[in-house]
Amino acid sequence: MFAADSDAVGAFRRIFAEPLGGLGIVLVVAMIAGAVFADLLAGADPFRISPRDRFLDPSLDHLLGTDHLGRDLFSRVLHGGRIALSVALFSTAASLAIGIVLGLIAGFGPRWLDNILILLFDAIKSFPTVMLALALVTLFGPSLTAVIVVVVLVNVPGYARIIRTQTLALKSAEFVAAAESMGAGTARVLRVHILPNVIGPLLILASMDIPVVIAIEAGMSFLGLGVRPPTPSWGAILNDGFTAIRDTPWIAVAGGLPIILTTLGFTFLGETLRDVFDPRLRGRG
Amino acid sequence: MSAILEVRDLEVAFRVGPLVRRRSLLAVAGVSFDVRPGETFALVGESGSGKTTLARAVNRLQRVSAGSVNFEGRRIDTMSRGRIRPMRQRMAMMFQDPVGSLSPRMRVGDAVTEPFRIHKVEASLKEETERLLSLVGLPADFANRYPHQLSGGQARRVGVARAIALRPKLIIADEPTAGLDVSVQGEVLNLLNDLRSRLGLAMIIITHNLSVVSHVADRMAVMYLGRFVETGPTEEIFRAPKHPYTAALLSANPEPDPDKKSARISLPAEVPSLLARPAGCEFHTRCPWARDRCAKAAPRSEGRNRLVACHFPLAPNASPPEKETVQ
Amino acid sequence: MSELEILDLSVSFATGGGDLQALNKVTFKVPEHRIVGIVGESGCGKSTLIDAILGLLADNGRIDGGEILFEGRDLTKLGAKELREIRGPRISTVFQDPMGALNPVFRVGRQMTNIQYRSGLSKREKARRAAEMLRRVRMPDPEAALSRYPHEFSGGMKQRIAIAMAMMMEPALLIADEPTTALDATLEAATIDLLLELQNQIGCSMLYVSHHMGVIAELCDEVVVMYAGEVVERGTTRQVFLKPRHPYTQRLIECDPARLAGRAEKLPTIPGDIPDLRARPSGCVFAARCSLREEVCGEPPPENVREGHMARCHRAAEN
Repeated sequence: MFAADSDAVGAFRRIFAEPLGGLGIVLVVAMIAGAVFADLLAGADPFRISPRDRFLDPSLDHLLGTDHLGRDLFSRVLHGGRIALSVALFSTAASLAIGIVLGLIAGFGPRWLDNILILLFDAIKSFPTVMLALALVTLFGPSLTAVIVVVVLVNVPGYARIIRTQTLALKSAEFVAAAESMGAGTARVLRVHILPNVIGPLLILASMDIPVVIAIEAGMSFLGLGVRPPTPSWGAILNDGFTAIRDTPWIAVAGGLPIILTTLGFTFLGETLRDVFDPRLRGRG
Repeated sequence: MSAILEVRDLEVAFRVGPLVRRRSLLAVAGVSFDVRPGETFALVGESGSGKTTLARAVNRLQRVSAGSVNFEGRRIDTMSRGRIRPMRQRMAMMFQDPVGSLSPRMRVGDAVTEPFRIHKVEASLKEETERLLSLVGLPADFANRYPHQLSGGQARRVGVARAIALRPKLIIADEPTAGLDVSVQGEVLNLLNDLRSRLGLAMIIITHNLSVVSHVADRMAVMYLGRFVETGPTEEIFRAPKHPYTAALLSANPEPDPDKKSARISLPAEVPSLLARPAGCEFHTRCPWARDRCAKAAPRSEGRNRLVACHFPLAPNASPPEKETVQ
Repeated sequence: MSELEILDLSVSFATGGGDLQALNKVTFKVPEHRIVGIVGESGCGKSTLIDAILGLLADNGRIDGGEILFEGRDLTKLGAKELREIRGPRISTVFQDPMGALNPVFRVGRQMTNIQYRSGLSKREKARRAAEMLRRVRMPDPEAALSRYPHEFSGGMKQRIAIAMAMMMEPALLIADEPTTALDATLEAATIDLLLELQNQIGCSMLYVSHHMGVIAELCDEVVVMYAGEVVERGTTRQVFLKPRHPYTQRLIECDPARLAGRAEKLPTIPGDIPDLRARPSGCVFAARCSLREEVCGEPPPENVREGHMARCHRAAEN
């Protein structure tokens, strides 16, 4: 176990050795901290409407000013981060779980099952995301659940395909035959012998997908298909900002900047992870 | 003593080609042999001879098309997957690639004790790891290494440790010296020999390398196109091969001695396809001794202890008849 | 005169854990019309040596010193373009995997005429020469073979095509890197005969790299034994195999199971591993595994030469 820890420490050190990787970690940690400690950091209640304080400029009282209902924007951005990150993490985790299981089944199972699953993945993939979102919202009404379902549907086919391709490649590997010859059942072969060898690239891809998920949530909320008001969401704040962009541009900035920073943070982190864990790139220089 | 493994008329067929014109190919075309406890049996053949397929069929990694396999007196070729699993504790298999047959993300310690976890055998895994590693002559701290941190010889030792973990009765070793340097091959063979006598194992060794066979095997079978062309005690076959193919294989194994300029028997390079087996004796297309009858009638395996599938078995020290080079 | 002469060649690779010295002052000659065998186990530097001769070292590799003289020119000093003109027409290669030489998407005939692009012959003449070359490697029905794709041939036949392509331009030097290792034993014999025959006809020199001592003994005129990137012994094949002077060579020959008649209780081995090439021992490279080791072995051993038979060992004078 000690060695496992030192592996992780080594990986962490390698991430920090890359300047963009360090920046990525800092941004991601800042976002998560902001979301987790939103109540402590914000000071103001994100839901408190105060008609007298509408469209206030940024000041020490209101770091990012206030919106059209006089709500503190800094507080709303922090709480919006909570929604964004929890949607991102929850839906990514769900996509991963489903994608891995389906990918392993498609890659290791019988040929006919593989064909059916591939057909299913392609069918889902062929729907444009926006159409899918609109269809689901028509069915379930705008809600956080709708956002999560859309994200999972969009992500699963890609994840499952990655796992499937790699599982197919490992299916005839000698160590898999060796496990079978020892008497391991299919479940154990998949869980203990195949999964650890196929999951790495997927985790990296997923970390790079998180910003996409945040953008989907923001986009859907922007269009009014996602989080219902008055729940704070970056997309909704951005939308509010656009209606008042001529007089009070900072609202759009307050909604847009966290989206950009989080996207950059996770992208840098994902790219660095990929470089760090790709053995072909390791050991250069 | 009664045999631990009895293989009778075993056939393995593969279906190949496009759906519409699917054809059947016999990779193993009816072989029979016994392996007795404490005995090493060698399967010798070149690529495409079906030796690996045969081993996988015996181990039930490959479906058997016809014939039977009896292990410890029970017929295993028709057993369900669920019922075969416990049998695998007593029949271990080692694969060709020393490093590639170990899970890349699994530490050596976990790899050698994997059989315990699979079969839910109660044991102190830490103690077992130490016991197994010391049995194969590896230091205990190797338990923390990953396969890619091992040399070929070390990885092969780990494979041996894993194979003997649950004290099997039979080990099937596919090319145990493949990919190893000459100076390391001996180590692995010594280890297998030693374990066999200490643990009373029966062993099947599959190899293309005849010089390996003479040092480890009691009996051997030479395979060509999925059939045994010659079987018998190793010593006898080495002293006087009776089948021309065996003779060619033996001659193709040059000694590191420049003064013994080879009496190699050079065979035509084109090996027949399993989809178009030659008529008559299947070796006649490459046989330097072939006569008219060989192309017409298939020879029967004759003999009891020593079986030879040839119309005209060789006399000791026969050298190939002079022939013009085939253009 | 020598076709190829390697003088004090040292090559190292930059790695994460420091510089890895893959070759250390390697010196030997390949005389004209002769076959020189290089024998050694994994990590001995055989592949690095070939890459260095061909100017194909990996990006992190570097020639630290020494010369590679071929037809009077030092290959280490030539540019990429000049090397390309030597590689192929003058020095050709056959590797363990014939698919390295064959392009899977082109017909054999097209590949065999393509490599004659420098010859200035007509298309028909090139095709005729290609068929002729295939006949010389005993390809059945060579004309038909020209219009087939590489994957339609068996492993042995692919290697024959690769050999035909290597010999096509009548090179001065053929480098054969384990050309028969992937082949079955019965095909190995025929392939070696073929190489010998072609080498004789064309009159080229050959550098034959193998870990298989039986093959080297059968085929080569002279032998170079390498260990951990150094030449530890060098001499004629009879000298090296009949009276080996370096302990490593002696052990290696003992280990070959083909040498032992009958069943041995214990097969000989060489315990231990090759040294870490990032921190070469200051003395003899083989000392750690040598059963004859003594104090003096901590010092770099001199080259002891007797009747052209070199051994790099402090105790070589005794043998």
